[in-house]
Amino acid sequence: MHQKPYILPLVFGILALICLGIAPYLVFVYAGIEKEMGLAQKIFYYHVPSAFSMFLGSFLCFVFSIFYLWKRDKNCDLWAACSAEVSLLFGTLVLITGAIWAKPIWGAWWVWDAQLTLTLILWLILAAYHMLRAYLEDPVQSARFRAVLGIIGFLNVPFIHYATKLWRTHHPEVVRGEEISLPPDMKAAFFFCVITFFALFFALLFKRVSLAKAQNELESLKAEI
Amino acid sequence: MQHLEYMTAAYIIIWVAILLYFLSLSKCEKAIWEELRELRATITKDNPS
Repeated sequence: MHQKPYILPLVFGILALICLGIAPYLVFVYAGIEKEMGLAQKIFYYHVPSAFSMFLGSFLCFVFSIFYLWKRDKNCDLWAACSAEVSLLFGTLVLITGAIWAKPIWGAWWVWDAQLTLTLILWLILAAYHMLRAYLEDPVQSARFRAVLGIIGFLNVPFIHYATKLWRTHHPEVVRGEEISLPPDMKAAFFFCVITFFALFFALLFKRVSLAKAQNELESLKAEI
Repeated sequence: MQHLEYMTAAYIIIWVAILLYFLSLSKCEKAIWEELRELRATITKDNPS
C-alpha cells in the first residue's frame, strides 16, 4: 500500500514559505525605488522570476516528453504533464503582471513586440497541451501528441530569451548574457526572488505530481474492482 | 508613491492565483485520498486473506 508522498512538497513548501517571508522585505524595504518607473518597477521582482519558472517548467516538460517518446514510460508523461500545468500557471502570471507593468510605463496594456508575442505563443502551446490532456480520449495518442507539443513549446524558449538581441523590441533587456544590469541592492532582491519562485515552483510541481499519482492509483483500483 | 496601484494589483494577482491553485490541488488531493482509503478498506474487507 502506498503512503502519502508528503516529503518533497513539504520540504519545498517550507523553503518557499521562509523565502516568501523574507522576499517582501528585500523588495519593498532593502531595494531602492527606481527613479523613472517608480513603484511599477517593483513588479519586475516577481514578473521575471515567474518567467524563469515558466521556462523551467517548459524545460522539464521538454525533457520528460523526450523520455516519454523514447521509453514510452507513463511516469515520464505524468511528470511532463504536471510540469506543463505548473508552467502554464506561471506563464499566466507573466502575461498578466507584464501587462500591468506595461500600462503605466508604455501607456498600453499590450504591444505586439517580439518578446511578448513569443511568450504568448508559448502560453498558447501550454494551454493547448492542457486541452489535449483533457479532451483526447485515447490516452496513448494523447500522450504522444502532447509529448510532441511539449518539445515544440520549449524550442520557443531560447527565442524568447534572446528576442531583445535578435529583434528591435520595446521590452527592457535586464539580463545581458551572464550579466544583470542592476544596482547591487536590486540585484540581491532579484536573485532572492528567483530562489523563492523556484522553491514555489518545485513545491507546486511535487504536490501536483503526488496528486496525479494518487489519481492513477485510484483509477487502477477502480478498474480492479 | 508613483504607480502604487499597479504594483499592488500585480502583487495581489500573483498571490491570489498561486493560493487558489494550491488550495484547488489540496482540495482535490484530499478527496482522492479519502476515496482511495474507502476503496482499500472495501478491498480488504472483501479479501481478508
